Amino acid sequence: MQVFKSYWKILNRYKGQMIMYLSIFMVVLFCFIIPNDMGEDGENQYTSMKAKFAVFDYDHSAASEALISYLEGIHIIVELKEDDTETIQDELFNRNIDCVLRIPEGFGEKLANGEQTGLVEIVAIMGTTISMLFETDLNTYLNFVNAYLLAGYDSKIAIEHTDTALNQQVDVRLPEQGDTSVMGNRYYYFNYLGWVLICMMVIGIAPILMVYNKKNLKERVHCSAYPFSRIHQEILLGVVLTGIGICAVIIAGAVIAFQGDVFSASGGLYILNMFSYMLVALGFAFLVSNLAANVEIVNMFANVISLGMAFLCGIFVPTEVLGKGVIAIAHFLPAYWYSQACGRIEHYTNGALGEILTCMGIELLFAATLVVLGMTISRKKRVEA
Amino acid sequence: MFFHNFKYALKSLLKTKETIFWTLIFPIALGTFMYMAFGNLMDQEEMFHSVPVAVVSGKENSELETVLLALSEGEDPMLKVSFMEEPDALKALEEEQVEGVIYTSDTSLLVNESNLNASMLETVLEQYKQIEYVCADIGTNNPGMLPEVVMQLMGDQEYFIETTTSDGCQNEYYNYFYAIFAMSCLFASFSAISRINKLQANVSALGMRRCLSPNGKIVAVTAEYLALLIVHFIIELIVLAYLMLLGVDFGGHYPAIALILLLGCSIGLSIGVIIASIYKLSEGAKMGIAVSIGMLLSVMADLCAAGIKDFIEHHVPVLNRINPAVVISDSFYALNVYDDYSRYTGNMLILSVMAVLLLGISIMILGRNKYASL
Repeated sequence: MQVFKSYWKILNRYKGQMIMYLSIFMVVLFCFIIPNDMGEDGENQYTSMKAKFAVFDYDHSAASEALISYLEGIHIIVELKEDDTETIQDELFNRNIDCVLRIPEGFGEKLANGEQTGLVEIVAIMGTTISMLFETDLNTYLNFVNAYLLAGYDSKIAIEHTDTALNQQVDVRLPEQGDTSVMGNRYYYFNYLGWVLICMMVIGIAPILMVYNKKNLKERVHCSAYPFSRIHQEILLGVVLTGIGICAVIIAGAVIAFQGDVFSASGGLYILNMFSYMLVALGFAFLVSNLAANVEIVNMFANVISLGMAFLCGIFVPTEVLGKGVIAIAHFLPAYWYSQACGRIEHYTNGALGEILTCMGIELLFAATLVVLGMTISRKKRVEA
Repeated sequence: MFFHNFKYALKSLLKTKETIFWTLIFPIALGTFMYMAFGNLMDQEEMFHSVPVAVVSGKENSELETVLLALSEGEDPMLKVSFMEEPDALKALEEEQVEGVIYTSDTSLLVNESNLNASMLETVLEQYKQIEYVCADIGTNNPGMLPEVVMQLMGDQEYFIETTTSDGCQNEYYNYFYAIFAMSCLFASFSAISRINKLQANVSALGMRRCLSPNGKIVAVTAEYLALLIVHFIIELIVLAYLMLLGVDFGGHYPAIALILLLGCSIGLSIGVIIASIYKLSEGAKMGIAVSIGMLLSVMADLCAAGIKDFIEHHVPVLNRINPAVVISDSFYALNVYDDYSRYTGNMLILSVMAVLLLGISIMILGRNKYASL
């Protein structure tokens, strides 16, 4: 098993980069993606969207406080320390707030007098749906108060009646299967592998295969008593074990993060899908090892292929928001089918196995194509040499 | 002698494929992928467009139908209403041709998912029910005022004034494009490492030969630095031109953007020179350090995930002031959204101080290198 042993020695040299990518994946996922995820809560029942708003009340009247109290009940109030343009602009740009409500002095008095224009100021990014929702709610509230005042009610009673009127709600239902756009944390965990597996395996495995492809070393090994087929078997064994090892680490991570959820039918499908995609990643590693002239070029291939597919195939950005042209291109990339399988597994119900297995089958076909392509290039190089 | 050094540094740089890839091809590829993925995301996800909705008519609620039709009229209507039988409406919803199905018989709504468009439809229906309630309430207690109240409730008065803080680009995803420039500027350190290694007698054979020549070190370093700066600055301008042609809106102010890129390149190069002057490391290890520093600083400027820069700003703002990647990204942002140059000028001051400081340190380190024997 000399070749097998030498494989691990070379891998040891490149393990640093593989660990680095795995760490980036874990940090980005657990620190920034998963904490912002809606989770499964919104899956089975409809929830209204809420605007994040800051308020600066310069009136401090009963009317302004009632308005804030109403808006606070249906939207999310965010504290903003300073009412200055730069702070507001930065918070709006970073979407920490969707709008700012500025209630000027004299608001309560103007409302009581039946004034109808310019009672308050809203600072927002013009034309966004979320700010329109907020403005509609605010306008409705003030319109109702005004209507009651017009009908002869005094301010306090008008506000009370308005609150009662605004309690009238409508029945909003979701289809029987629930909201299929809501994805759980498990989905994000496995879907992001579409990026990291390619990057890790190409950077880790391709340089090893390149070492065995070096002309002098190859000739030395080939003129030894070691059988040709055994050399390839041992390298293949090393590559497959590396793939299984990485998958095991990822499964361990999933078990720690999601516990029992991994040991379910959908958990099993996620793992099966990951193994199929691992073969694609190894296929890419094999192809790149035959294409690249040195390790720097391997790095370039790894980053461009993995990031390119991650952006275009629904890993970093959901496919629903990608353009039709981008999706058409994505059909020719394996990460798209991996991501599609992840999406279907997340909402897996008995009987919907066909589509998931089709996606996995396409991934395996991609893996086979990459290996055949790699072998063709390798053969061509050998003949030319 | 200076021009001789400069000419060969320039020639040699242009033949280094790795440099060209990481500072030109990679940012262009990344920018293209990002533009394809995020380019229209704000418009699609955040901006309001008429909401297509299927209406299943109930015989006894023609007022709601009238309201819905009124909302779908005009130049920029709130709704795009299609009246359908229930099976067709459900099919349209399943095929995502409509955002929801309104049942006028019981004023209810069926939607595929909880999203902004669904909330918009919910608000329309709620408003209808609430107006109905107010009319009934006032009609019971003060029927004489009802006609006036109805007139007001159905009017389109706006009780608020909407203002904005900027006329510039408010697309949050543009942080990614700004971070690409930050990364690309910092990746200039790669070629600085490779060039400085060729000046150091204890690292390369070429360095030994060059140390033995009568060529003054300060002349050689200055020529190398200037060649590096020019090449990388031009590369950044090419990336900028490409992204502009792609459709990324940097908001004009191109001379000011060029200054950001020039200072950014200078900082990247100085970082490279400092890393290159670490004695006992191989070129690979030095490159590893440069990649790690470049990536770490760029990730902190939102290269990989949005919100990191903002998180740091709220918790340890000083980190954002001393991270050149964040200052570069923030300068692009400031130029794009603010009418005045005060924030941009502050950032330029920080970048200039950084550039001068790092350049000073790198010149000091290189100037002190003396070899007793080689």
